[in-house]
Amino acid sequence: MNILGDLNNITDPLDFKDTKVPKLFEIDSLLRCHICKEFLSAPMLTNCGHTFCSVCIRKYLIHTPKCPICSKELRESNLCRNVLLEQTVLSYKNLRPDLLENLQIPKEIPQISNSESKEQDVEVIENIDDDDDVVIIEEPKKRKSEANNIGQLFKKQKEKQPGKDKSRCPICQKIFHRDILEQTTHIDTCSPKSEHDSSSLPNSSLSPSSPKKKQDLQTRSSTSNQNSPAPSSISFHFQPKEPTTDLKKLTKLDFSSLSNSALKQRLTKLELPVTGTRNQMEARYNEYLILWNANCDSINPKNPKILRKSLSQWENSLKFKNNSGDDKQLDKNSWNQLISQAKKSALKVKKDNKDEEDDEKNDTNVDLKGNDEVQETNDPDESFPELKTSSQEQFFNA
Amino acid sequence: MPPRVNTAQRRLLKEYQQLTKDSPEGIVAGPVSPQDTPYENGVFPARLTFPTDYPLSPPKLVFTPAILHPNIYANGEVCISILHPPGDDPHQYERAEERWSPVQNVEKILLSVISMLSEPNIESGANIDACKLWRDDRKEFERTVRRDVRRSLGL
Repeated sequence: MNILGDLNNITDPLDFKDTKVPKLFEIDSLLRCHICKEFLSAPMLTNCGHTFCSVCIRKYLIHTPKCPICSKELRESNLCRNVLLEQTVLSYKNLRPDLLENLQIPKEIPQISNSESKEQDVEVIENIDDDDDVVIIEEPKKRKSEANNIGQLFKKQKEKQPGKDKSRCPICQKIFHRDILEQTTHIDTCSPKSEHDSSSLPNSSLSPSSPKKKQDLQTRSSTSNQNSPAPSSISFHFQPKEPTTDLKKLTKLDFSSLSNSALKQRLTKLELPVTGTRNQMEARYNEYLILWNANCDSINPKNPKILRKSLSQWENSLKFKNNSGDDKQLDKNSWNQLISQAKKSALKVKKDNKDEEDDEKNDTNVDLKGNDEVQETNDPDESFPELKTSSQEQFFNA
Repeated sequence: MPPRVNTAQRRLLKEYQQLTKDSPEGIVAGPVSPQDTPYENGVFPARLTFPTDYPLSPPKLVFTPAILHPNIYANGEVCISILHPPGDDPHQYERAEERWSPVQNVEKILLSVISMLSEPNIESGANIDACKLWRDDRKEFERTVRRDVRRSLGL
């Protein structure tokens, strides 16, 4: 159950399926690693033109020196960093929650939609562009009190009252259609005013992370400084940062020529535990080698502490494997439903084909036998022959 | 970072989420036996076992109980190329691009199983008896399979 509880933390491209721009699905998929399906972390380009997370491809190449996509021969030394892509992914990752929130389709179409249908279309398109106009158009639906800013003067004739169906989110202070607040998880996921404050104000609603927005901010900094209270709270994650070069990659060890104590020395030097058998220590070194070298490929390398933590998580997951005896039960009801559905359609097909099948004596015999079995075990819980039930349990335990 | 969820589990959760949110045609909770084959309407329980280094290594698919099919061993284990890692090739005729790679996923496996059910691959048979039966006495083969189908439904 622990694992299923984490389902909410798992993002996947289909999150965009029910938004105003479902096509964002594509870019969301493209920025993910084919192996782990997460956003690319320290992406590495192969000489056949494919890209994977540094960790993922390094682990894979250990036992299969081929590209996972096209099966062309590939060695670790052929891998090449892709800095621009890493920056793109970082930027997109930061932008994603904002995108999802802004592109949500309200459950009920607001009453104003008739007169504003044209405007809504514009909004959809421009939201993708991250164009500032979006904010201005949205403005009338938001706070009324900010009459002093330019955006609102611009579109003042279009201003609308925050109708009776709208209310303010108690956490981020933005105004939403009431249905959004009541029926979606917005309140659970939105952040307190302090973080979002700037984005609810028209001129400063530049999310911290998009390069285009950054440019916008710079070119128009004179106007926006006057009107937005907190430009200083905006931080940019990717000042075109050049890769740090002071991290040295670890080299593979020739374990056969290494004594126990020498291996322990190596591990201690890396602040790794020296517990366990020789095999465990070797495996630990090899795993850490991958984590470390992949970390060197990243433009923001993590602290070695974090690497050591993931290493110990990895070791724990190996232990976990050994005592995975009791597994969770699947939903028995849905299984039974599936069976009964299939039964119905099977019976229907049989009726249709009855004339054709009449001459097959064997079949008829089996049918009769089958019917007997059903009658004997009429109890809904045990509506299958014994053989079936036992296999069903096996399935659930899988 | 959620505790105790490793790469394999995270990836499986993602795949589970995708399969439930946007299941490909022909797949309900599992694959639906293809129409116009003797397996039509059958409900065959099977167990997918994932290794801890998934997706680097392929999962194993076992029908429980085994069903009669040229590409399913007598113990129920499914023998199709997508479930074989590119490293070892016991049969020497599978092309590398058909084999398992971390780029494949559960969805592709399920689709392969559907196509396996409709078009058995006799050249790489796992169950020799089933292969013979399929080749020499198709009627008897289909009759046996239909009997399995009815048994699977408790009819």
